[in-house]
Parts: sequence; C-alpha cells; structure tokens
Amino acid sequence: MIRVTEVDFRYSVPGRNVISGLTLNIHRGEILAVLGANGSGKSTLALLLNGILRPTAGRVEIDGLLTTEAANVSRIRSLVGMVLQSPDDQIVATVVEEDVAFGPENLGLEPDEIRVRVDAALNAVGLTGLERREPHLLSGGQKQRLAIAGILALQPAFLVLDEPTSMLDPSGRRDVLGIVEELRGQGHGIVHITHHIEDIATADRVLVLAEGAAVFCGPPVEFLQQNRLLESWGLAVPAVGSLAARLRDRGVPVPVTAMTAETIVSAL
Amino acid sequence: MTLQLKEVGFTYSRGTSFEYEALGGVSICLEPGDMTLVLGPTGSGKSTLLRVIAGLLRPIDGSIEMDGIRVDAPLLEQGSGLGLVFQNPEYQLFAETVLQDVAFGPMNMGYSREDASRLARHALESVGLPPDDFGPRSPFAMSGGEARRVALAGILAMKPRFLLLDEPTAALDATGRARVRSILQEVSAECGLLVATHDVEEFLGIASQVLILDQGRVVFCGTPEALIRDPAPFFEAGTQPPEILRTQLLAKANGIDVGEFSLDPGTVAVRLLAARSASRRGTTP
Repeated sequence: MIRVTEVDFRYSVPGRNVISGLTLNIHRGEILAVLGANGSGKSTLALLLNGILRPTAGRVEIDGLLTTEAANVSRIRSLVGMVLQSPDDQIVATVVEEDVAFGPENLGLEPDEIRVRVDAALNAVGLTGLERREPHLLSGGQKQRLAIAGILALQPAFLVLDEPTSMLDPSGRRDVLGIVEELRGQGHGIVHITHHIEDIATADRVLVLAEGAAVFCGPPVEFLQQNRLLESWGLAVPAVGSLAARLRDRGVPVPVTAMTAETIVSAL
Repeated sequence: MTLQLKEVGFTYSRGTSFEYEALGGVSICLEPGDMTLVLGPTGSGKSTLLRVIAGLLRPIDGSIEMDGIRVDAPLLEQGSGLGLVFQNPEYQLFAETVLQDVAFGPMNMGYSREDASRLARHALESVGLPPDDFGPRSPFAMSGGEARRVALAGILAMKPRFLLLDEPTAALDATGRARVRSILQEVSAECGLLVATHDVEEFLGIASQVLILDQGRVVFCGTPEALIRDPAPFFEAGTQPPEILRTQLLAKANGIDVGEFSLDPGTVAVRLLAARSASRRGTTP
C-alpha cells in the first residue's frame, strides 16, 4: 500500500506549498484517477510517490518504506513505476525493443527472461511489429505507449501514469484504459493522472486536487454528482456526459457514470 | 495567398531496413481565414505532414506551391510567413523573461528592439497574458496553460500568414484548452491554420476544413458539416468519431431515428427523446 500522510511540499524555501495537507492511501488492485487544473499539483504528487521528490512535511510510505530514508530508495523505485507526462523525457535507447529492455537489463535479469518481458510489454501496449523501429520515428502516441511498455517490463507493484493518453486518439485512449484495467486485474495499484473526465469511468476512486489540496476523494459516481463544482476545479464534462445528464433530467435511466455511447443507448 | 500541396509523399529512412512510407498522395489547399483540422490515429502521419509543409522534411514525391510557385522549404522561404508550433512548444521557451522570449522571433526577422517589443506585447495581449504583468516574469515559473500561451505568442509575434500547430491543446486542462481554442479562432481570421489534434469534439465546431489521415493517406477531405452528417471516415481511418456522434450512430443502428446528427448535447437530447417516444408509440398497440 502507498500511504501518504499529511504531506506538504514546496519546491523552494521560502515558497508556497504546491501540495498541502494531503492524506491518501493507494491499494494494490485499484485505480485512483487524479484530476485537477494545470498547476494544481498532480505531477508533483506523482513525483512524491516514488521518492523522486521528498515531502517538506509529513510522510510518504510504500509498503511501510519511508521515501525519506536513503536506504529504501532502490526498493521503492522497483515497487513504484512511473510513466512521465512527456514520453520524450524517458525514452533512452535507439531501437524500440532495446528501450523496453533497458529497465530489465539494469535489474540484472537473464536474457531469456528479458526477451519474454519485452515481448509481453510491447504486446500489451500494441507495439508488436515495431520492435526494430527507431523511437524518434514513432508518432507521439506510439512514444507514449513505448514509455508505458518500458515500465511494464519492470513489473512494478504500483504504476503512476502522468497523462498517458494526452497524445492518443479515442481508440488509442481506449486501448490504454484497457491496459490499465488489465493491470488492475493482475493486482497492480494504479495512479492515473488525467485531464479527460471520460477516463474516470474505469477508476475505483477519483481524487481532485486544487492548489495542492484534496478537494474531493471518492468513487466516480459521487464525483460526477458534483457537477456544479467541476468548473471551479478547472474541469469540464465532455459533450457525451452533458448529454447523459440532460437525458437523466428528463427521466431516462442513464447511469451517472455513463460516458459511452453504449451505456446511453441501452438506457433509452 | 494560397499554400497548396500536390500529391505529396514522404518516406522515412529510405534505402535502409528501417524504411517506411509515412505519407503518400496528399493534396490540400490552405488559405488565410481557414482552419483545417488534421485528424487520424497516432502514427497516421499528422506530425510528418506538418514537418513536410514546414520544409523540415523534404517531400520525396509531389510538390508544395505558394501562390502557384513551387517552394522547397517553405519555413525558410523569405516572406513565406509560415509558422510552426511543435508538440509541447513550452519546452522551447528559453529566455530570462517572457517578453524577451516572445520578442526573440521578431528580433531575428530584423525588427528593431522597439518594434520587436511592440509586436511581442501585442502578441501577449492576444493570448490573454497582459504584458505589464507577465512580460517581466520568468517563462519557467508559469503554469502549463500559461507557458503554452507564451509559446504561442512567440509565434504570433512574427505575424505568420500560415500557422501549423501540432496538438496545441494536449496536456492542458479544460480552461486552458478553451483559451487556446478561442485564441486560434481569432488568429484564423487573418491566418491560414492547420491543426493536428485529437481534441476532435472541441475543434470540429470551429474548423472550416477537415482532413483525415490513415497510414499516410487521405481518407477524407471536406467540411466538418459533411463529416458530422456522415462520420464513416473516422472508422475507415481506424479511429472513432467523438463519443457524442458515436452515440447518435448507435441509436440509429438500434432503430431510434435521431434525424440529422449534431455535436450539441442539448439538441441531441431533444432529438433522442422525441425519437424514443415516437418509436414507443409505434410499437405500443
């Protein structure tokens, strides 16, 4: 379990708190979606979860290991995998499959095991067939998938994904959401940072950050009932969500979390 | 002033084992006052198309013409007035202050310090960042949405006649996306815009032309209205229309006649409810 207890964080002293008074638990086998406007502290939270940043006050523990203890760092890094916002920031090799193999190689795994993990990771993100492509010739969305594959190959217990779908088309987004769900099924705990409210439909809980503080934490159904507050949090419901709300107002039994054509049409 | 692509094609790493064709037979025409969307799944050639038009990649087949005259590298062509905004353009901010950063382009074009500063202030104004407040700040101490707008201002200060934008709203929150959209809508009054984006639902309503690519080929080129009437090209390209359109398609396939498709949730709700009660009346004895 990741346990965040009364955490404050600021980048410089003196300075304002980018995260303030945050308390949060993240369990294995759950998807926590994190929403919030630009500058609300989402990416900072991500970096606190595997010890890249350390809290100014409070504690972050991964399976009981404090991120502030230097001796815990390597264990924590193998427990919490991180996919950064811009894939260009974390692609290291000159060939796709070598990029995915970079992590497992550094863990000192056997070549056979590395091969298995690389193939499985590329398959999971739909990049099979592009093993020998040069990463800089991939599209933005393919690079995002490659970045995810590189972390999957490390088989971390927890994954922190910082806007993994920002450059993907709707099918690509659905694929990545499918990967995330599958990982949850395998027992991984997932923190999914996103700007797309549609993405929360598969989440178990939603955390909304505003100026570094948790202004909401609860199941997606409860989150969507806060529709009057969404705008003040810098969030907007997509057209399909607003259609669902209008139909619901007129007595059609559309579920509150309906964000897909299927859920709406089956309620008609 | 028109920018025209005729049967343009591009192949990466030609003659090596990495060779693959990223674009083939692409023809489009851009004019100031237009906003053209480039849609398609990831890897369909959107970014390559922008780079080819800008002249960062040289087309292997076909030609690019400005006012009927063939140009090899439009971005470098004197007076072509072509601007390119990459993915995550805020990564390219570099100066000490926002004003210096935005004035860098005009300075390089040969404007005097005063004129460059005037153009920069005007550009900052147009992206909603008052220059007296934001001008002296560091470009590295801004939120993601603000930094994106500073990067946009840096291009707008050069007064482009054509502007190519790669995912201008990616990774921005709802407020930031709406801001960038309305800035682009204003800019498109005097400038020809080509926007590669995945925010289809949000851009379809303000575009004048849409191009859908699949594996480097054009599968649709027409007006947004035509695409809303018949969203089939999205599927042909291996992607999907915005969920609100897909909902209407699915309703229709289930015998709920929604009539003409729309992007507006209010309109769609009214039509769906009307069609639903009509079909119920029809089936009840």
